[in-house]
Amino acid sequence: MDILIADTDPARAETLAARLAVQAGAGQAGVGRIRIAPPLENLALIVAAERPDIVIVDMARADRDSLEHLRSIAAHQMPVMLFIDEDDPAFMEEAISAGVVSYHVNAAGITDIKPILRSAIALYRHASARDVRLAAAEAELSDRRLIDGAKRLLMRRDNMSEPAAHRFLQRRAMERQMRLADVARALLAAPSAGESGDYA
Amino acid sequence: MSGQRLSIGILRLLDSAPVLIARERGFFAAAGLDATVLIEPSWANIADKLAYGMLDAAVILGPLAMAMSLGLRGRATGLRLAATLSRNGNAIVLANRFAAQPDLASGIGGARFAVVHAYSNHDLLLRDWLAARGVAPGAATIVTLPPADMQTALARGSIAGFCAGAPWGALAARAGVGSLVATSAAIAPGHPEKLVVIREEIAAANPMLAAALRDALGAATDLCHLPEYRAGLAASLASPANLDLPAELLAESLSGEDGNPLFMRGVELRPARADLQWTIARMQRAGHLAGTDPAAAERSLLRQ
Repeated sequence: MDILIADTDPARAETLAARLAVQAGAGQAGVGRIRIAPPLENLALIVAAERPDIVIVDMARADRDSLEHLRSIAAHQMPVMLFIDEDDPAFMEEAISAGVVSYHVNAAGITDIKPILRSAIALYRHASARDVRLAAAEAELSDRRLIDGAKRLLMRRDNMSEPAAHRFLQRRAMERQMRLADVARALLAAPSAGESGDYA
Repeated sequence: MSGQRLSIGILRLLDSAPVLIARERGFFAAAGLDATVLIEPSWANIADKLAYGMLDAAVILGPLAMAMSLGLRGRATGLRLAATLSRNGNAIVLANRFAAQPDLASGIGGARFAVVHAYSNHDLLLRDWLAARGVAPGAATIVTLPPADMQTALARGSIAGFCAGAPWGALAARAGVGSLVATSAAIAPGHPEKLVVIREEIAAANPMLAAALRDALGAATDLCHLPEYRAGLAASLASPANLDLPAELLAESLSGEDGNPLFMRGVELRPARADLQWTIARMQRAGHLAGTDPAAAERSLLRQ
């Protein structure tokens, strides 16, 4: 079966292609030609032109929706279906939480899809654990920037001292049951709405 | 913070605004919800994550909720309707050469139109509009594109027109690549647009959840209707962490006027059978529901 890999991360696509090629070399059933879709081209058009049997899709791609409609492109009567294993919801959960799904075109050999998707899941899970750590670190940094920005605004505008500004934000966060960073963001977004008993 | 934990999936669209406002202003917490908002890149993600329990609730298109309930798209998924969040808000944009044509039906043969999802109000509204202009069903082809790509596709000539939510129609018209020929408020005044659904298992275990969600979202939609809040709301919605769209455009669109999404308030948020029937009638006409039992899906979506 011809496989098309549609990933937002070109390096990960290359890695997956290489792994699948190794598996094919070791005699794994079902792996035929492996191609990588250019990240910025519309997925439906690529699939219509390349006519793969299986498409491995990164769930971060916004044009995934276009794949689900492909059968209605008159010139390409190709049913494209999301691969789901009704008997193994745990496998599907694993795939989706890793951020990768696969589609089969023209009802391609469904039993051969699972081992191919399994290789993708392993690779994606590794990458997403790293992304989660990175995102958490970035979120913390941006929270800190927001809070500092809001404090500076209060110190400049209302002549508060730094500890007073901090207490002001903390009190508001408690009153409104909001995160400190969200209070800071709201204050920076609409400084004038911050003074009186506005949206309480 | 305590409260009922709830993950809510949204897309980066203007009509997701009440969810982001409720998060920012603490309205979920006030309604007893410990809500996590997840911004997803596609409707397919919303559907898959609901189907496999990675989202508890979502802002969704009515036809997609129907398709999921009926198992037409991926795994059949039990959903309950918690709210009608918005009405109206979509627009049809045509390439300038078609917009100037008085007899659309004769020139449109084989033309392609884009919508945001195969199971969307945009698809149904576009079909209504084409039919009203005398274009026979099947004379035009409907494809799916992400709304952010529609302007480019129109400029390149790879589509003749599209139907998308605000602000994409206004943006394309402003860029001069097409003409906004109809708002959905004109095609089907007050049509249901975004719904809020909860996964059946979660809703069944927490009978008060839907009402709590409506309280939180209602507090947010109340703010959207107050002109003095619009600039502030738009500024915070515009941030890259939220909608990542121009603030002045968002402030204009929050009014609910000129065919923009009209956010439901108070009791208007309550699910209405008529809204599902609007959707079912059009999905049937489009041939989406062949061999299914839409009445059963309607009953399960309306369970309270």
